[in-house]
Amino acid sequence: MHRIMDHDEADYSALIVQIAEERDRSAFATLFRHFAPRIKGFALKSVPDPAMAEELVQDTMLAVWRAAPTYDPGRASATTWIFTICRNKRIDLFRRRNRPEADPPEEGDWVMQPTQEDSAEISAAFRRTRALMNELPSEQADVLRMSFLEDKPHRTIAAETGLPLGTVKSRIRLALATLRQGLEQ
Amino acid sequence: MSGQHHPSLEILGDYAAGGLPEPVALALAVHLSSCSVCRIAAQRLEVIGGVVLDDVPPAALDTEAALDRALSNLDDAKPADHPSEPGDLPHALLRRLPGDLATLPWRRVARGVAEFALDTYEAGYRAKLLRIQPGASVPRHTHGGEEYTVVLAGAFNDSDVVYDKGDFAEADPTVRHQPVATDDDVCYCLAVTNAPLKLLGPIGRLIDPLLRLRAQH
Repeated sequence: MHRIMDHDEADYSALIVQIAEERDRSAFATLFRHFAPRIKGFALKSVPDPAMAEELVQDTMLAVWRAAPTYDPGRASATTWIFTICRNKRIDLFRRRNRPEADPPEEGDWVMQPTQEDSAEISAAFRRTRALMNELPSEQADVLRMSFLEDKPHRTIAAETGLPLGTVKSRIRLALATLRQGLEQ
Repeated sequence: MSGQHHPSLEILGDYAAGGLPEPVALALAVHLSSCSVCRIAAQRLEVIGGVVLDDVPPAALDTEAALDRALSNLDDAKPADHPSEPGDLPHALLRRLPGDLATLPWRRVARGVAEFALDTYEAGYRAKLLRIQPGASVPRHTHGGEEYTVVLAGAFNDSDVVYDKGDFAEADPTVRHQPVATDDDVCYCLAVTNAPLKLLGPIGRLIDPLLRLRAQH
């Protein structure tokens, strides 16, 4: 299984910051070469249409360029942040609807200035999440991954896997509870 | 500000995954706009998506051609701001309304209760705003499916449990209830359902066919 090394994640974060601060096109190109084939692979899980998948690549990466100034390396790893953009753009593109997004927090609510320590914690949380996901029983891990990979509600996952809806829901619930517990330790 | 009543882990997970039907995602976005606890929980769950994206097999792509196309579209556009004054409705909801709460074309559905139906884009789902006058109650009812309610202003009491601004409530066919707005303020809620309400009680059954609560939902 492909795994990004720690320093890679930090490098990608640094590239996004560089894009934000300097509108650096070569930083964008490096980021694009890494993420574009993955975003296309991600899109093909929802829509078996290469042209649509490549549209999602373009929409996502253009949004990365524009939203880079809002990226906070102390809050999300580069890959997680790009996942959220890709997820939202997938909804916009495939469902032709904007995803309802929560308002950004107000000053003094919960935003903290990123520090080096936060960045390290973010990388550690990413590794820890992956380790916990790999430890899940495969029946749970499979439906959990499907729920993040595909633009489909639990109901549709149930129909596709032939599992009862209640089973899909309880497997996802168990997986999420295990991850939450593991991450809080 | 964080309230007392939060969405279940499963719903938060589906919000992070991007799989929630749009009207339910709207209710979540409204809740997350004022709940830092759930916002942080959702962020933690989004890391699962990061891992999934990282693990996806890269697809065959003419990367350089795609990059050239992207580079030609880069501009210096800034991300859109979400203009929002403290106390305003969350942006995700505001952009769906033709006016503010005071000027919406409310339709009376029961004594002290009015509603405004939002356009929804998801088959089978209804989303509406409810305006409940202080002390007024929604007719006693149960549900044919799930109901997600988030409080926008004021508060309501449901079986001695008080839901304040930002609180999130989930109900299903096992729940029979008669939410009552508290005496202090007009209560405004966003309610999302995926099946009709069923009115209960002799009066409810009598007026059920008359109430557009059911026809609309």
